[in-house]
Amino acid sequence: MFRISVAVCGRGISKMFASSFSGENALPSNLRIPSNLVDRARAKRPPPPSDSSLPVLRRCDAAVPVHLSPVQTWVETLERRDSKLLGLVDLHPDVFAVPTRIDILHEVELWQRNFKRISHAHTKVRSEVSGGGRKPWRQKGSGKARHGSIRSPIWRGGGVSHGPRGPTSFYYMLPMKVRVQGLKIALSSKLAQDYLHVVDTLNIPTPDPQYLMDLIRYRHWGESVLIVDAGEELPENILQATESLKTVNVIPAIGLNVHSMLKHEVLVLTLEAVKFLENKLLWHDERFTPLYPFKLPYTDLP
Amino acid sequence: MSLLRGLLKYYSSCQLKSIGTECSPANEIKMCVTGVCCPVHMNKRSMFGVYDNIGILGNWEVQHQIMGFRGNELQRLTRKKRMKRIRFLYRHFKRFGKHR
Repeated sequence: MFRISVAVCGRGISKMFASSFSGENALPSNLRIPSNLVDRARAKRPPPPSDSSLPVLRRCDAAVPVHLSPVQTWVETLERRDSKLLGLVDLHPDVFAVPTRIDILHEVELWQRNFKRISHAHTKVRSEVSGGGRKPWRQKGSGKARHGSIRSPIWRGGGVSHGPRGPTSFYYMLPMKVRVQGLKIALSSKLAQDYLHVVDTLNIPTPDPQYLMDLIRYRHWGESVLIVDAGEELPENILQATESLKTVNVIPAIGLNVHSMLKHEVLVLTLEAVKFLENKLLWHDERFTPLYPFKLPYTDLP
Repeated sequence: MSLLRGLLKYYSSCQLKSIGTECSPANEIKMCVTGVCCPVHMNKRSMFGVYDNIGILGNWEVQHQIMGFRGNELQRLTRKKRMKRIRFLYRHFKRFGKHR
């Protein structure tokens, strides 16, 4: 009996140590990526040909630091469903290749959720509930418990002693440079994970939403797309096409924010939007601290 | 535009309610859209957070119109000058209870 149990235990122990000895299944179970996590459609997307001689359509306007080099991406077009590459674009490394700090992304995301929040929960205290000024019955002799008012917190219908009091605001502001860094980190991580696409213009041939969905599905971009253009005036076709779609949204570049970038899987920028964002986000690296808030007029702000 | 109209309706209804009650919740603290005219009203959940960085990306021309006061009840009451409630709370917490 003892010999049988030792043999059984020995087999189990040897199985436990077998995986660490063999070189084939080297990864332990908690480090192996589950197979349903990888998006097979994106993995099947053919990479652009490496030997194509497409021109660089845009170089970086601002000076790139000497020890860094610009990151490059393809420029596509939305005019046809099949992906035709127009060229390359240089992206500034201090905006699109910033070291990823997930804690800053988390801070900025929480800030965006909470700084606008006003909780209107409000309960009445015993002095605010109507009624209850008179002593309900005499102090002694009635045989009942002694009470001073019918609206005390121990009574049904009485006030709440320690409830939420009035509209509370959760307003706070993160430092400006932290918010700017959050934007840069979000853009860099989208580029690094292959979820960023640059497009020359937003002109599409039809205002049909089905055309956009077909295009996205054909090019295996992802589930939800955020399209960013530089100016306030967006082309009518794309506005009409995205109006009825929930997962595809167009915003001007002024409205870019970390929450929207995390909410949508794919980010599509136009060339003007790239220029606008680089201009705005790089200025904060080399500015002076403000003597008075930036909302008041300065003569030399760009 | 429809969102602005909705907000104005809510604000006016709060004004009517506040005549009866002594503490008017929504009068001081009001939350408005930044006022930029763009198609943000389409889908509130997917467009949450758009224009939060309008100061940084837009030259600080448009400001957030949020009443930015955050404090505990004593600080909020002091701001509103609700002296009767302040006096009551002071006497309650200084004289009764465990933490005197």
